[in-house]
Amino acid sequence: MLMFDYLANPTRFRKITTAIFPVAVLVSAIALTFGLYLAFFASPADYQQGDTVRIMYIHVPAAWMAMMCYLLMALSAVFYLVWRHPLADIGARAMALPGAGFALITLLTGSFWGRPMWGTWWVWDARLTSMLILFFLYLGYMALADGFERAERGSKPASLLLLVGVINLPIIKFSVDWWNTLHQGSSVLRLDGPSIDPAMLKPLLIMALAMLGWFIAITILRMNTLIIRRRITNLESRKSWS
Amino acid sequence: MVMSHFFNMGGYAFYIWSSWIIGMAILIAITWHSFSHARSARNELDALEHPKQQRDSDA
Repeated sequence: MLMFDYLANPTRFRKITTAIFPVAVLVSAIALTFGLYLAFFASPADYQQGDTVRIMYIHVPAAWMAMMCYLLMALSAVFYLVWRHPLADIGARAMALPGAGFALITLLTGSFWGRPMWGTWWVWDARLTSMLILFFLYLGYMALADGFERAERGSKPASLLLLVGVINLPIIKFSVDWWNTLHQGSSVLRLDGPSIDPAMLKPLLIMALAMLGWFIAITILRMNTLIIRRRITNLESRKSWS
Repeated sequence: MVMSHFFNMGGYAFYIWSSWIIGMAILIAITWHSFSHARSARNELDALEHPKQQRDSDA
């Protein structure tokens, strides 16, 4: 809450985000370059899946980001609904499109990985279906948030949808444990530590860092745009009254 | 020979390259969309805050 109060001042917000933006872009660019090198040249092919394992270096970080992004949006929704903080609403709106992008990348790259390994582009198993639901939740949020003439009117129903959709996150994470699925089990985020080979874990984490940097930079850019848009709306309504 | 071996990706070239191209295309599209929206919003705000300057520059 204190953080939102501190950042509520538009000048302060712009000053802080102007400092963070180039750092996020730089971190993302360096991590992407290094991550691509590791993914394609310095990591081995899998003994069972062969070179298709290289799809993992875009598929898995995108899935992590899609889930993290939704969680952040849901937290923002709590801040908005409880304390009515406009910056929390702006933050959630700014994260929606990158989050939907990550979910779409997860679904499409998963399909391209599934076809040669499982023999099918799609199967209605718990992990794939719950990830598809996450993608629809993003689309639903964006439609609801932007579906009103005055943007603020969509904030409350859209925030409520975010909170309802949070139930889907543990379902995605534990779907491979709770149900018998075609999708492989967790090999990184496990209580007993990662079971994946370190040579594969390294490019995975570096690609995740690249996506995180990109996500921070894009969210900052989109938040600043939304702040400008609200200012435009206020100026226009003031002009129409005078 | 080495290059063709690399691009062939053990016979899975179509699936691997398609995944990466689609993934990167989505990220680039969102980046482009965000930057173009930021630019148009800034231009609109400038036009509202400094209408005279905007008219002069248009002329």
